[in-house]
Amino acid sequence: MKIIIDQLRDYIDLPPSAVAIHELMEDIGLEVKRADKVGERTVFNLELLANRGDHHSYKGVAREIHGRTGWPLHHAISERLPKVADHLIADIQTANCLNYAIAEFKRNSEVDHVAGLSEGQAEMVVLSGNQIGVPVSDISGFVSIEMGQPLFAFDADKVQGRISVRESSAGERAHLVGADNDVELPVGTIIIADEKQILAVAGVKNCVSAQPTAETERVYIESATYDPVKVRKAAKALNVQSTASARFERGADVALVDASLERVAALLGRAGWSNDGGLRVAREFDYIPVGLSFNIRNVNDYFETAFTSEDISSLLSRYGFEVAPGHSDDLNVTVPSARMWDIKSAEDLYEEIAKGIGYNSLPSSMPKAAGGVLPSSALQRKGSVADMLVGQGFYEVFTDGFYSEEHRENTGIREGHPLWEHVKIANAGDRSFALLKNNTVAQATELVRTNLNFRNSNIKAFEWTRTFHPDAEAENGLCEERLVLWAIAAGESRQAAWDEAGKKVDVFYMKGIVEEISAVLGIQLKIRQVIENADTSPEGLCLHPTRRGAIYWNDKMVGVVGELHPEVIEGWGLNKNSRPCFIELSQEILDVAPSARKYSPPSSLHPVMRDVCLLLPSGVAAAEIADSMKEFSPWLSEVAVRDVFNSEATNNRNAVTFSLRYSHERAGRGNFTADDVNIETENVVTRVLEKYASHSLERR
Amino acid sequence: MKNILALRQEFDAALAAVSTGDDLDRLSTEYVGKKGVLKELLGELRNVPPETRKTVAADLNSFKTYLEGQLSSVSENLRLQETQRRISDEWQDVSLPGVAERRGARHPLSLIEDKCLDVLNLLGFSFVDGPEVENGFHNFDALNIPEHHPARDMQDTFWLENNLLLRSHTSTVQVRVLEQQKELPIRIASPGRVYRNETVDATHLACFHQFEGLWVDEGVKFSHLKGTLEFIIKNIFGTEWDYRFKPKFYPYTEPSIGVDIRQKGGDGKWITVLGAGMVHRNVLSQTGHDPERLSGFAFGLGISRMVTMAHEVSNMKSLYEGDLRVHQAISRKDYV
Repeated sequence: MKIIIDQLRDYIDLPPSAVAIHELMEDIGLEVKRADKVGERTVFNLELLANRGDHHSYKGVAREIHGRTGWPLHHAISERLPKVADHLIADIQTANCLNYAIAEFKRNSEVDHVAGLSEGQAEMVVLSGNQIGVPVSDISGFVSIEMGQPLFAFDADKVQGRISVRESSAGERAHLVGADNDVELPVGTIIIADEKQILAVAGVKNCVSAQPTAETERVYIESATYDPVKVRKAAKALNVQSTASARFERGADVALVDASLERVAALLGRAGWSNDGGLRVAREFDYIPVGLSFNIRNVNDYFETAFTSEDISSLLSRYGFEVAPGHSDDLNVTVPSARMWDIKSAEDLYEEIAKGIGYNSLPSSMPKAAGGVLPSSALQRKGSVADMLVGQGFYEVFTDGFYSEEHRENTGIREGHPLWEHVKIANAGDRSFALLKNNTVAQATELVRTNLNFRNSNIKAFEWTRTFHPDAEAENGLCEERLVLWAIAAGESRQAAWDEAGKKVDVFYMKGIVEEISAVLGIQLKIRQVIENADTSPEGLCLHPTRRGAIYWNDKMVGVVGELHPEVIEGWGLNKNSRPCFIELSQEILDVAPSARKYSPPSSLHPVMRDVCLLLPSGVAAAEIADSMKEFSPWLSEVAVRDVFNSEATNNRNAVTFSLRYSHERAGRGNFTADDVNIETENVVTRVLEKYASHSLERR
Repeated sequence: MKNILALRQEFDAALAAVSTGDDLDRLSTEYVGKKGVLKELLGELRNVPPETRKTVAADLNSFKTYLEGQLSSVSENLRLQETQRRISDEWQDVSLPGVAERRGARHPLSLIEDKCLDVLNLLGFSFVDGPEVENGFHNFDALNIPEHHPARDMQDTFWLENNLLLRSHTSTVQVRVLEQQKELPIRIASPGRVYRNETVDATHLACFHQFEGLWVDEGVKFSHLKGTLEFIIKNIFGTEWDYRFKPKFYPYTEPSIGVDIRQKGGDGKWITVLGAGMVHRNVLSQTGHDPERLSGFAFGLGISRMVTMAHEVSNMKSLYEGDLRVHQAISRKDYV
C-alpha cells in the first residue's frame, strides 16, 4: 500500500521528520519497503501484515500509530443519514454477504459540478492505483482508501430492476472494468446483479454495465461486507487484485458499512449531490463483541515486566479495545469490530501489548538450558565425508528435487526401465518441474553438460540429496524418500599444469574415492564388478555395463560406481570422448557402526618383496587373484597391483604385475633366506595357475 | 731432514693452485697422507741428535698444525663455492603457478547451515530431518494455516497425488517433532529443502533452503525468545551488527517477530534475517500438547539472505544450477 505522509497528517498529528515516521512505522509493524519523494510529497510503500485488513487505509494506519504513541487522531466530517431497513432495493440471496446497504444520491441541477476532492485527496486515489475523472466514483474510491471500506458506485439509471446479491450459476459471464472482454465466472462467485445484467463481482470489481460516468445524474453507492474466503477465491480465479479485494480478503470491518456511506454523503454533498432515501439497509450484521480475559500477572511473567492494570488498560484502549477490570488481577477486554478477524485469544492481546510497548523495549533473557550438545554421529560422519571430497577437489552443489520428462528421456530411461515410474507433480506450471526425481544420474549429467558448455571441462561435484520412489506401500501411500550421496567427475582428476600432463578421470579414480569414503567412515565398503543388469541397482543401469561396480557393505548393496553409459552420454549430447564417472551411495552408510578393525604395527624388519607378472584373460579380476595369493601363503602381508599392461604382445590380455610383500612376523621366523622366499613365491604362483587353469591364466 | 720452511713454501704454492676437491685431496695425500711428506719427516726424527730433537719435533708439530689448518680452510672454501654454484645452477622461476591439487568447496548454503547449527548446538538444539513429501495436515492445518490462507493456493504449493504435496516450509518438521516427542524440553534445528510453485527468477526459486528452530518447554516466555534470538544473531553474525526486532505475522506463531540487522553505527538499509515467534496455541493443541502448560518459540533463519550478505551473490538461482564456476569464484574470491 502506498501512502502519502502529508495526507496521513489529515488523520493524526505526526512529527515533521519523515525519517522519524519511517522508523516508527517499522517499529510497529508497518514495514516501509520504499520511501520516495513524489514532487514535494513523501510517499511510503508499505508492506502490511497479512492478517491486518484494518491497516489498509489511512485511518487504519493512523489508528496503529495512535496505539503506540497516543498522538491525537483527527476525525473527518460525515453526514448523518437516516437508516432504514429496505429489503426491496436489494435482495440478498447468499449468506456469504454479511451486511449490505445502499445510499442513493442525485445530482443537484442548480449546482455546478465539482469533484469534491482536494488535490491531495485526488492523489491518494491515483496512488492507490485507481483512475480519477468521474466525481462520484472518485469520492467513493477516496472513502475506500481513507476508511478501509470498499464502496462500489452504480449509475442508478442503468440498473434494470431490483438488485440482487447472489452466487453465480454455471455459464454466467461478467465484463469487469479495465478488462478487454467478458469472462466466465466460477460457479458460486458472489455477484451484484440486476434483473438483466451483472453489475459487479462482489468485493472484487465493478462491471462496465452500470459504471457511472460524468453524465450520471443518479447514483447508488453500495457498501457491504462479504465472507473473506469467497472474495479471495473470486479474485484469484479472475486473476484480479483490486484494493477492494485486498481489503475484503482480510476481513472487513462491519461497522464501516454505515459510516463509510455517511462519509460519502458529506463529500458528495459538498460536490453538489444530495441523498435520497437515507441509508437503505438490505442486510445488517449483528456484531456480538468478542470478549477476552487475561491476568495481569501472566502478562508480566510472559514479558518479564511490571505493568499495572492501568498501564495495560490505557495501552489497549489506544488500540480501540474496551478494557474493564475483572476478578482479582484479571482484565476483561472487548474486541472492536475492526479486529474481529484477527483477535481470538489472550496471546493476540499480548501481541498488541508488545507492539504498544515496542518489541525493542521489552526485556530479554535466556531460558534455562541444560547445556550444549554435539552434532550427531551421522552429522559428524557426513561432514568428514564432505571434507574428504572437498580435499579431493569436489564442489558441493544443490539440485532441485524435481526435473522434466526431458531429463528422464536424455538419461535413457524408457518405458519398462526400472526408473521409468516417477511421482508426478500435478500442478507444475513449468514443465521443468514435472517429475520428482527418482535418480541422481540425470541432474549429475546435466551438471556436466552445463560446465562443458562453459568450457569448464574439469568437473568434480557432489550432493547430499534425496530421491523419490513411487511405492503405494510406503507410509504416505505414494512414495519412499531415499537419502543419497552422489558424486560425478569428468575431465582430469589431476589437472594438467605447466610441469606435467593431467591425469584423466576414470572408474579407478572414482573407485579410489569410494575407498576414501570407506576409510573416512571406518566401514568396509567393497566394490564388485557387475556385468549383468540384474546384479546392479536401477541407477547402475545408467552406467557403462563393463565399467561399473556395485558397492557393498556387509553383503548389502549400498551404491554404484562407474562410468556413465554411452547412451546417457549421447542422450545428453556430451562429447563421446568425455567419460564422466559417477558414484551414488545410500546415506544409510552414515548410520552404520564402524567395521571391526585392528592396528598392525609396522615391522622392525625390512619386508621381502617379489614381483610376479601374470596374464589375465578378460573376466578374471586382479583382486580375485591377489586374494588367492594371500590365501595360498600365510607369509604374505600384502599383494599389490604394481602395473597393468595390455597390448597385442599380450594377446590383448591384461599383463598384471603383482608385488608380493612377505612379512617375517607372519611367517613366524626371524629371517628368510632368498631361497625360502623364491620357493614360497613359486608355490604361490603354481597354486594360482592350478586354481585358474580353466581360465587360461599364464605366467609372463 | 728437509728444510721445513722450504717445504711450507712449496705447500703454500701448491695450495694456491688448488681449484677442485680432487686437487685438494691429492695435495692432502701428498703432505699429510700415510706416505706423505709429514710422515716422512716424522720418521726422520729419530736420526736427529738428541740435543736438537726436541726443537725439531716442535717445529714438525707446528708444521703439521699449519698443514691441517690450511687444508681444512681451503676445503671449507671449496664446499661453500660448490654450494654457491649449485644454488646458482638450480634457479627456478617461482612466479610460475603452484601445482598442488586444489581443494573443492562446500556449498555456501551448507557452510551457513553448519555455522547456524554450531551456534544452536551450544544451546542444546539437535538436528532433525523430515520428509519433503508431506500432507496438508503437517504443512498447513497443524500450523494454524486455515483453509482460506493464500499459502494453500494451488499457485503456491506443488501438489502430488493422494492430496500429498511438496512441503512449502520446514515448519512441517516442527509439527512432526511436536507430535512424536512428549519429553521436554524440545529443542530442534531443521535445515532443509522446501518447494514453492513460483515463477523462477533471480530471487524466487521453486526449490530452495530454509532453516527452522523450535524450543518448547514449560515456562518458555517471550523474553526467552528475544534472549535466544540475540544470542543467535551475535554468534552467527558477530558483534559488528546492530539488530532490531519488529512485529511480523506468521499463522503458526503469536506474537510473531522479525529481526533486522545492519552494520553497526551505520545508517544503511536494515536487512531482515530472521522470522520468529511464540508457538501458536493452536499448533501446540493440534500436536497433542496442552498450551496452558507448555509454551515455546520457533524461528526461521534466512540463510539465502545470509549467503547474499556473505558473498554478494544476488542471483540465488545461480547457486542451484551446478555451474561450478560460481562455486569456484565464491571459494576463491579475487583479492581487492
